[in-house]
Amino acid sequence: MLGKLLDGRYRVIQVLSAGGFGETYIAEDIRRPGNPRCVLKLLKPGSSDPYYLQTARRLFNSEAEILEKLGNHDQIPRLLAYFEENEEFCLVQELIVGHPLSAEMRIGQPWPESQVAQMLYDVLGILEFIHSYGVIHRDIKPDNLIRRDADGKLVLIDFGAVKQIRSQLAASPSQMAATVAIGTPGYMSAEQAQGKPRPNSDIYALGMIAIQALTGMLPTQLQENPLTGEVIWQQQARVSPELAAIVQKMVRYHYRDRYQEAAEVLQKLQQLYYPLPPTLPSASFRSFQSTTPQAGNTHLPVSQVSETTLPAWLDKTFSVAKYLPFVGAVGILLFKAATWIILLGTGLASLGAGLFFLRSSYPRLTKDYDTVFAVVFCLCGILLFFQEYEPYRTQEIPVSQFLLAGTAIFAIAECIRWRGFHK
Amino acid sequence: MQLLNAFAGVDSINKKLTINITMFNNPLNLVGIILMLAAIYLCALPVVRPQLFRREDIALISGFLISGLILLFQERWYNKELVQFNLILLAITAIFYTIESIRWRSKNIQ
Repeated sequence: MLGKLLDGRYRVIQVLSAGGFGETYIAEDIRRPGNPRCVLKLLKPGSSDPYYLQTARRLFNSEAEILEKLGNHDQIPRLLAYFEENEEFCLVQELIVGHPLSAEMRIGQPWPESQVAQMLYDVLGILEFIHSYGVIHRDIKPDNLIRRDADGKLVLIDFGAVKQIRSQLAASPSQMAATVAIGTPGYMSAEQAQGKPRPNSDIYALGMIAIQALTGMLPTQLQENPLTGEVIWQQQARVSPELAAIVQKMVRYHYRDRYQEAAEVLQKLQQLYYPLPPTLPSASFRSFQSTTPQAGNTHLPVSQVSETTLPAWLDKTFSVAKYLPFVGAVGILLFKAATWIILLGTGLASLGAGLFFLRSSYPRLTKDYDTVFAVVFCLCGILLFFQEYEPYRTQEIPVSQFLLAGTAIFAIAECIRWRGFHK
Repeated sequence: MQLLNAFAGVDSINKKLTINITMFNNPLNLVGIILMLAAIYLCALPVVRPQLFRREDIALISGFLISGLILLFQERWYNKELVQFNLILLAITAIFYTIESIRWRSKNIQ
């Protein structure tokens, strides 16, 4: 096959994979300047029966039409040509230069949560697109997701013309046995294994990839609950309950219990990691790639998530600041001095000012009523400057002022953190 | 008034009651009671809805409890309006944001 010219235009230069039913090659287009390389998929119908060939041809055409439309998506290889030669069907697609996601997922090396969330975002965007055309990929697995070298985005390949044709041909009873196992064990949902895939079978497969990434275990190594058939994985993963709940709902045994649409999962993820956009600008991807050379999944980018949710500096500031008033309360008990009151006053006034700035710089982390409380804090701070302090009489009131300020700051810090997670 | 008169003339048990009643003539005592209620609510959280409770809440509980106790038995500073106003504002803010953070948690669990 090597060196063979197909359609008078595509010269096969490398074998990518060869199976019984279809073969994939890298070919070069000799009719374009520079002879760009492309992927050539050759489908060999298993039977020369005219009815079979006719059906295969019809399905092949409709498949090519679907691929033509799907190719408009940036993360799906573009269809360049399709033709039939010697009763063999050929699909020519854009070549994606990169490495498969499976090369980044090593057994025993779980990914950090933020990286998994990023992967989910990337793939869910593609799923949402292909489902909108009524297409079910049916073979979502790490091998079919290519991390493109150019921009670090995941590209979904193998739009299994082969598999789709094969499954639909199965309408003829003689082929029934061949249709049963379309998909890859471990990533295949129960209904898909029965030959009745639904759009959320793809969501299931993606959920299993997320579990594989989170646990560092292959889906086939995971145990199932013998009663419910649900996958047991959370003990093996270090993951926040929020993301665990989303992934769990993606891989529910029954399709009815799962998310019905990719958009629904995306929305949940957005709520969790808001405002992380579905597709990050390529610049941040490049930085991601540079931190994860080839298969190094050691750390994404904690900064990516923290930058977009709650800024790291703010988180750190709050985690220290919320304990300061309590320290002040102990301080005034031990050392009776008016300085503490002045300190608290300054602290409260600057907190009020800080809330104002937070409102203007990070409007999504703050609410309108925060400005009211910003004024309240400023007022309390100023009031403290004018408060008479009688060190030999009592410290109860200053102590309670410190404690109340402490609880208020503590609760505000907590609220802002939650808002960063949720919105 | 009739109730107060009924208490007034009697013996030591009633004196205790009148002390309790005088506690309420200072707005700070009322703030103290509200703070104590907030503390009790937070204390009940690990029992009633354990999934909403976080370990850091101990700081909130102790803050509310101590300041609540101080304000509940406060009689000396009631004539200083500035202080009263300050404490009331701080208490409102603290309670408001505590409730909001618990609301976020329950939303998250749902």
